[in-house]
Amino acid sequence: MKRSIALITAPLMIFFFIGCNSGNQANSTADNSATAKKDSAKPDKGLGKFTSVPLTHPLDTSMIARGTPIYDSRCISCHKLTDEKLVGPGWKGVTDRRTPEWIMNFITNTNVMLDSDLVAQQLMVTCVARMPNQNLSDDQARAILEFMRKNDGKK
Amino acid sequence: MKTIFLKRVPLLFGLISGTIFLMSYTEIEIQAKAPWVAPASADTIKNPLKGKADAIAAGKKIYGTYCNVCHGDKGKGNGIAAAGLNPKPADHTSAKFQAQSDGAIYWKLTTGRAPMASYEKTLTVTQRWQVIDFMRTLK
Repeated sequence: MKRSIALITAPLMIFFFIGCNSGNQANSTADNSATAKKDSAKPDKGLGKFTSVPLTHPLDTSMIARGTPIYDSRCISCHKLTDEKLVGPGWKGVTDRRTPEWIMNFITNTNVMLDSDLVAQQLMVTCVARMPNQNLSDDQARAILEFMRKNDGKK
Repeated sequence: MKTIFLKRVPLLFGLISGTIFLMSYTEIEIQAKAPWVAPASADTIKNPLKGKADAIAAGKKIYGTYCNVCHGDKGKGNGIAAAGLNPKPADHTSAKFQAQSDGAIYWKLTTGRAPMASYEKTLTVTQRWQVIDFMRTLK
């Protein structure tokens, strides 16, 4: 019993400090390293209905055109296009840090992800903020993903 | 003896880490609830655009882009993101908020305190004064 308490407490503490340390940095690039290991092991698709999001090469320009005004009206207040944290993490490199499925699930299934997805929860600790569900449609979310890919210089 | 000690290692580790965890948590709780006061020196920062109509108009636009998501369209601290934040966003219409000097607000806008962002790199000096001019209309 005692041992199990110890075993439960230890990872909790590690998790807590990861969040805490990155929270002290002006730029929130700290989550990169925390998830890098996870990426190499198994693709983290987050929680939600998106289990496979096919990506187009080259980028879909019409989706980017639809994503841009959504970014300008819904996302810009908290997310910069650089790697700098504002209220939430900057978007630079997000398409490398996360899978397309994770991004789509997070945008459309925000509350479930924030309640149960470890990466999302870690970000919530880092930012001291819980992202509100933006009520975007699947199509709008996909447009934002394409906008992110363009921002990351994907072709 | 040695085995007993080894058996207790995880327990000890758990106790120590648990204590540290609780201490840090409490510290964060205290930080989050402590009133946010700008240093007295901030009061000496003068607003070069004080009350200018064009600055207010420009500030309104900036407020609508960056501030209203948390602070609300009318500045009451009830924006769509407010529910998930602790401490809660400031009510810019409150007497308490408005009692601050422009310099103090400028300092907070520039410095930030999570979840409130620092706008030093996001808004220019001029833009920060513009948004402050607009906030003075939220009463």
